[in-house]
Amino acid sequence: MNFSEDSDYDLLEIMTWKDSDPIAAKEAWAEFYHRHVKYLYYVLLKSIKGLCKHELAEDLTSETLLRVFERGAVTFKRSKEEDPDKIRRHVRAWIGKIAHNLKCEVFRGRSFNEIKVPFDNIEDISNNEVTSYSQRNEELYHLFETVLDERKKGILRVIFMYYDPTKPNQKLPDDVLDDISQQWGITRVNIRQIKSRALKKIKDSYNLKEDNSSIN
Amino acid sequence: MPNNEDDIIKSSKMLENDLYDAMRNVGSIIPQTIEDVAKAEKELESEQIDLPKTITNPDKLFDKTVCGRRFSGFVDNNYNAEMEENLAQAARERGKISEEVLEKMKKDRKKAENNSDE
Repeated sequence: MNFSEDSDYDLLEIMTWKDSDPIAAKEAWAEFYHRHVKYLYYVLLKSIKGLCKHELAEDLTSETLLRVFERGAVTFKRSKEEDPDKIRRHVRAWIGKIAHNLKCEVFRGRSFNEIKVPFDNIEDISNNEVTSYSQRNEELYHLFETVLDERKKGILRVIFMYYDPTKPNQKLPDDVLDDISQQWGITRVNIRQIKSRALKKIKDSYNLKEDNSSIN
Repeated sequence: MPNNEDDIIKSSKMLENDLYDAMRNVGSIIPQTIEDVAKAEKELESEQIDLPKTITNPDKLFDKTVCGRRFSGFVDNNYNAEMEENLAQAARERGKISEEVLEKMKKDRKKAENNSDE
């Protein structure tokens, strides 16, 4: 069987035949794997850079793609798109959500056999979102990396993994708060204080930098 | 400058949004929108990425149950990126690690151990 001409949507559909036609399902998955493995490894490697051993990116890459076959393909919702590039990006955004989910759990200290990806809750992929990344974004990230200590950075990183800018007054799930508390040996109240101090430090450093550049 | 509670909340939310976008921009958050995927794909075109042998062959991964799959371990709060980079650099150059680097690695390791005891 050769699935090289099939779209990613079709490959995902063929994967759902794993009970009735396991050979076709497995081969469709292998084709899917080869199409996306390099991209996925690249984005995972980038997302963990400086945080942990690069081997974790390998593990997360293979685990994400295996989860697609085992449970994900059945839950995937295709769009009406027919353009192959747009289909590929839609599928990769969806894979990104699975990988993000696994990564969040691993950062909370879970091993793969403890993690259940909530496929039914993986939201539709946004097609309309346009973010114009600015110089301010770059400077803020630079300050995040340079002015905060490891603990503040570690805690903010986890907080932002669960961050959703569309939800005002968003709170971290209780079990995530518990994990952070345990991981860093602090209380829930400490987490809020550390977050608040870290953001203030970034903000003050940014304002100071702005003031200095306006004087110069 | 914010002058009342609402302004302070708004300003703080804006900072959080900007920082979140900053993390998306640098790739610290895995792309999950079509726009971010397109950006990452473009970046990948100019990168030289060699796939590690552990993930080049899907057939080798396929039949393992989730318990039998490779998992390099949990995230280490004391992970030292610089040390890993030094080792990787030495491996790439196939040379020996200099005394100076070895000494620094030793100090870093000791510092990390002390921090974890605090």
